[in-house]
Amino acid sequence: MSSELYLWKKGNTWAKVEADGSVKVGVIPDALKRYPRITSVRFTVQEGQSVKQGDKIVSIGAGKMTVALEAPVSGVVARLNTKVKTNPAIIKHDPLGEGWLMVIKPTNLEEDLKKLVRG
Amino acid sequence: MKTRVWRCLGIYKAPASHIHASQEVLTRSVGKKYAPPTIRIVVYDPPAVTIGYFQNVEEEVDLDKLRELGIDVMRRPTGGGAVLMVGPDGPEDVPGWEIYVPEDWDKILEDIDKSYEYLSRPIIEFYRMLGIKTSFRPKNDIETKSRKISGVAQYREAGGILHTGTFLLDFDIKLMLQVLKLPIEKISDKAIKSFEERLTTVKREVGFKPKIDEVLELFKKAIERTFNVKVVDGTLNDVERRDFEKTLKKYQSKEWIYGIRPAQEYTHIYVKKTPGGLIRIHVKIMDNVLENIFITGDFFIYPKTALYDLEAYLKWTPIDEIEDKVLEFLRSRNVRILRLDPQYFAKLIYEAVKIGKR
Repeated sequence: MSSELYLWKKGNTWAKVEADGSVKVGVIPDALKRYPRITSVRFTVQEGQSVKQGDKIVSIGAGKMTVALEAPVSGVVARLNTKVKTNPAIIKHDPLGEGWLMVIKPTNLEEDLKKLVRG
Repeated sequence: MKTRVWRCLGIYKAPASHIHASQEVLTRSVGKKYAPPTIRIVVYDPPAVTIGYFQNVEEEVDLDKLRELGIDVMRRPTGGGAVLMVGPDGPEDVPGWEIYVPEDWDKILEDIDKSYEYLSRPIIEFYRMLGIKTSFRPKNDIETKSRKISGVAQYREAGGILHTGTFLLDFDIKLMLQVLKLPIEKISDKAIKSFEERLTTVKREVGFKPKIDEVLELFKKAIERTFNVKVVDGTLNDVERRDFEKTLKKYQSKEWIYGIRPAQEYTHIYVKKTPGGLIRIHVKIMDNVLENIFITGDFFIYPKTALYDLEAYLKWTPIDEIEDKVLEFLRSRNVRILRLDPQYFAKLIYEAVKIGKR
């Protein structure tokens, strides 16, 4: 399996296929350039929940603005990075590392990846 | 290419759950190009208080008081603070305005700060047509003579932007102080006066308030003039109607209204006797960000309105950046505080914020 980055641009998220076949998800660094800061994070899905590619999974906020981010792949949410909830700034500071959002066990990976672009 | 024909959905008089569910639907629909850029005026019926997406309802409003007064409460998809959507003569005193555009409608919309100013231009034109000179005040207000006359917020999803706020035609400050939990000591004439200095209305500025139909016509005209587009009356399409039925269930659920809590929140009033006089700093903090601040006291600041501009400027600033922001503001505006050093004043505000932290 490739550990390359795939981008779901319209949903502002990236996907990275891990060695065990799961998919790590985060916010595309380019999208983050638009937001001077991120002060609030809320997961709109829970661990164990099924999501489809394009479903809303997280809302991030800064002041009076909120942005809904979408799942880049379909699957079951395996793990949420609760660190970003208590320290939303890490999404901006380290979007490809510590600021990841969740891990999804994919259910339709091959088809979903066709709709993503390589990062 | 830019769409030059926009859709107007008229005046939507509905319960808060319907208004906010449809906001989410319309943002998606315009973002996915199922519909052209769209505008709408909304009136909350029954009257409502709306809270920001990330707020805790119990921390923001007096729920018993709302029940007693028959006022609804609803969480918005947009961020920001709690807003009372009713005035002395009913909810038509505080209509909401909404602008929906795709993020790629203009390049300027990619920059969040610039998009706030750009998309607020029709609102400034609206007030100009009523004879009120207003301007955009960073970060999220439209003001006239340093008094807020409209708040502004955004929600972005699926490539769509909702840029929204309220037209303050007339307002009941006393009712607002009764139902919202603001960082004030008690409801008093002094507290009311303090808000009157910071807020204004169309009625107060020009002595009359337009009817809701006139509001819609002026809003349409303001959009056409500002963005050089044609606004055509329309209705929801089938995709939007289906999406609305689904989304409404979420907005009517208890989980949506009561189920969100910030990791940390507190309010605090800090009082300090200084060589320049007594200073009272009222703060409300949510998730390490300054949500609200009022600075009062008997100290002298020049120009006086700088204080209200400073409060607006500091809203939604992470607390660790506050001291620098205060200094930056005082220096850039050449603000003077009698017998008080700017560094000392900046430190006081930072202390006020930090000291209440638990």
